[in-house]
Amino acid sequence: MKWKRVWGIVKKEVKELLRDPLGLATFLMVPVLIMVILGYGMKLEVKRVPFGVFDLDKSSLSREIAGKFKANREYFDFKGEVSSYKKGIDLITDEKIRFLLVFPPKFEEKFKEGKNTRYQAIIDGTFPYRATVIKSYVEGITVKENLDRLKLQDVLKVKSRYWFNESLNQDYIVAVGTLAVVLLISPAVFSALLIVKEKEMGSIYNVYSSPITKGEFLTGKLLAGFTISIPVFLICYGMTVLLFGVPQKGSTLLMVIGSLIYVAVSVSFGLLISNLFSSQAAAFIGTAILTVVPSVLYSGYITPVSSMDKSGYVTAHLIPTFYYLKFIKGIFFKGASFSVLWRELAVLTLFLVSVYLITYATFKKREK
Amino acid sequence: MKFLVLLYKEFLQFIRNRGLLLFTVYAFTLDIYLAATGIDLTLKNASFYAQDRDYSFLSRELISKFPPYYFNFKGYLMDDDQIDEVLLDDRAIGVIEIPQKFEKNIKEGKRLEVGVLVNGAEISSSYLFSAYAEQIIYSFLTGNFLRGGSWIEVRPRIFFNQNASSKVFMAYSELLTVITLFLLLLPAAAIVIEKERGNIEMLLVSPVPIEFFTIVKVIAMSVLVLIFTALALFFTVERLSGVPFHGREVDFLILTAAYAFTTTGLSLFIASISENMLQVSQLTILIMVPILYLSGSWTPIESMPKALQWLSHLSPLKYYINGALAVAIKGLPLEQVKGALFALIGEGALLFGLGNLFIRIKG
Repeated sequence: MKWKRVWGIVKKEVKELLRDPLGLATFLMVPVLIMVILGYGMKLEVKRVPFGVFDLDKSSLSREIAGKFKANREYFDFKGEVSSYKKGIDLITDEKIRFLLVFPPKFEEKFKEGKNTRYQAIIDGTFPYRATVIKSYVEGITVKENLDRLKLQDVLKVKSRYWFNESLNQDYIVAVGTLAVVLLISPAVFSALLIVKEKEMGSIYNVYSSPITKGEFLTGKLLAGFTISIPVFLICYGMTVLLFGVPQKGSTLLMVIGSLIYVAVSVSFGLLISNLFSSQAAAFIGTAILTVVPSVLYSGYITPVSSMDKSGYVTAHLIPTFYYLKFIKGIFFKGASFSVLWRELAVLTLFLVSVYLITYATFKKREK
Repeated sequence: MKFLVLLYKEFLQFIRNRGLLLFTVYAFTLDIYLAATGIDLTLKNASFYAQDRDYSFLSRELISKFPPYYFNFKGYLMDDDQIDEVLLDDRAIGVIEIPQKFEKNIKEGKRLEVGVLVNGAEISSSYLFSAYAEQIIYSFLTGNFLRGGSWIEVRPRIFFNQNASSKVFMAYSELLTVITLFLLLLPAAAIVIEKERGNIEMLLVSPVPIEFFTIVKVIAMSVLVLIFTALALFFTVERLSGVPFHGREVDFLILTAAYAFTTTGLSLFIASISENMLQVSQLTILIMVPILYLSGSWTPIESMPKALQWLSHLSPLKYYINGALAVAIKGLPLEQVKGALFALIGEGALLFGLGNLFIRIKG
C-alpha cells in the first residue's frame, strides 16, 4: 500500500469540502441542531395537560376532587365544565382537551353510605405514552385523596428515588444518548456519498484506470470520511460537556479513543452503502433510514433494552450504537476504566473491521 | 403532451434506479413494521428486582401483585451492592425495597415506608415504572390496612386506542416521518442531479421553461409517494403490523396530497440553493428535524416553551399528524378535519409559491 496515494484521496476530499461553503456549513450545523433539539426536546414530559369536567353529581366531594386537578397548574390546565357527555367527547376529538373527568350522579351519596364510589376519567389515546402518563396522574391524585381522607398520608409511604447520585438527571441521559445517535448518523450520511458521487459524476473511471489499488482507494475514502467527521465529534462532545453540563467521571483519553472508533464504524457503514449503490439519492436515503430507526429505537436510547422482546433484544445487539451507548454511559456516569469497557471497544473494532472487509470484497475495480 | 412525456421520464428514471426503489420499498414496509413492533414507549415487561428485608407472607404477596404484562420480576437481591450492580448495568428498571417488620406493621396499623428505586438512565420507562409501582403498593397497603371503609375509585378509559398500544401510534408516526423524508428529498434530489450533470444548462436553451420542468418532477415524486403511502396503509400498517385503520383511506390520502404540497415546496427551496447532493442531504436533515420536533409527536405542544408553541404553527407536519391520526385512529371523516386540510393547503400555497420563486431566481 502506498500511503502517498491514500493521502491524495484524503486531501482531495478535504479540499472538496472546504471549497463548498454551503456543504461545509450545513454539514457542521446538522450535529449542532440535532444535539440542541433532541437534547432539550426529547423529554417526553407531560405537563399543563388541558382537561374538562362533566359533573352530574355537583356535590362537595366531586368539586373537591376536580379542585385537586384545577389547583395543580403545573400539570393540568382546566378548560372548563361541559354540560353534556357528548360535548366533552367532542372536545377530546377536536384536541381541545386531553382528558375529561366524569362524576356520575350519587357519587357522593354512595361514599357517605360507606360504599366505594367511582368516577371516570376519559383519556385521549392518540398518543399512547401521553395517555398512560395522564392515566397515572389521575390514579395518583385519587390515591392521595384517599390517603388524606383516611388520615393515612403520614402512616403509609411509598417513596420513589432515582438511583445514582443526585447530579444525574434525565437531561444528562438524554444528552449522552443524543451524542451516540448523532455520531452514528452524521458521519454515515456524509460518507454515504463519498464513492457514489464519483460513480454518478463519472470520475470513478479515473480510479478504475489509475494504478491506485482497491485497498488504497477505500482506505483513502475511509480516512477522508473519518478526518472530516472528527470536528463533528468534537462539536458534539463539547456540547455534551459544556452546553448540557454532563459531568464526566471517567477518562477523557478513553472517551476520545472509543468515540473515534465508533465514528470510524459509522464512516465505514456509509462507505459500504456508497459502494453498493449507484445513485447518491439512494445512498443517502438508505443510510438515513438504516441508521436513524435502529439507533434511536433499538439502542436503548429511549426504551430500555432489558424490557425488549426477544427479537428486539437480538436486534439491539446487532447495532453499534448499543455498545457505544453502554461505553459512554460507563465513562460519563460510572467512571469505568478500560478493564471494564474493553469488551465494548472490542465489539466496535470488530464492527469496523468486518464492515470494511465487506466493502473491500464488494468493491469492484472495473469498467462497467 | 409535454407534461405526460416528462412525467413518464421521471417515473421511468425512478423505477430504473434500483437502489432508490429498493430503499423506498424498505422504508414504506419493513422500516415501518420495525418501528411499530419493536418499540413501546409505554411500560411493558419492565424488569425489576426486590430487596425484601421482611420476607413474610405479605411481602411476597405484594410482589405477586405486579402484573406480568407491565412488569417482569427477576428475583430477590440481598444487599445494596447488588442493587448498584443491576441498576448500573441496566439489567433492571427498578428495585422495590420492602422494610423489616413489614407484615407486623401492617397488621398493627403502624407507620411504614416502602421504597421504589428507579433506574434514572431510562428516558421513557423510569417515570412510568415509579408511577405504576407506587399505585400498586398503595392499593395493596391500604387494602390490607383497613378492612371496610369507603373508598374513592377512578376508572380510567382510554379512548380511540383502548390498550394505549404503542404499535398503533408508532406505525402511523413512522409512516408520516418516512413520507416527510421522501417528499423533502426526492424532488430536490431529482432536480439537483440535473444540475450536477449539467442538464439544466440544456434546458435553458430548450422550449421547456425550468419551472415547468421542476413542477413535473414535483408532481411525479408526489404521485410516487402517494402510491407508496397507499401501499404502506393497506399492506404494512393494516396487514403486516395488524394496526387497525378506522377512517377512510381516501381521506388519509387526500391529506397526504395536501401535505405533499407544503413539503415539496420546501424541497424546491432546497433544490434552488443546492449545487450538489451533499448540500441536499444535509439541508434535508436540517429542515426535517425541526419539522418533526415542532409537530408535537415527541414532546406534546402544550408542554413546550411558549415561543416554541408559536413556532409549532409553522410545522406543516403538525396539521398533517393531527388530521391523519384523527382519520386513522379516531375514524373521523374528512369534513371533521377540514381545519387541518385548509391549513395544509394554505401553507402549501405559500411554501410552494416561494419554492417556485426561488427556483426561478436561483435555478
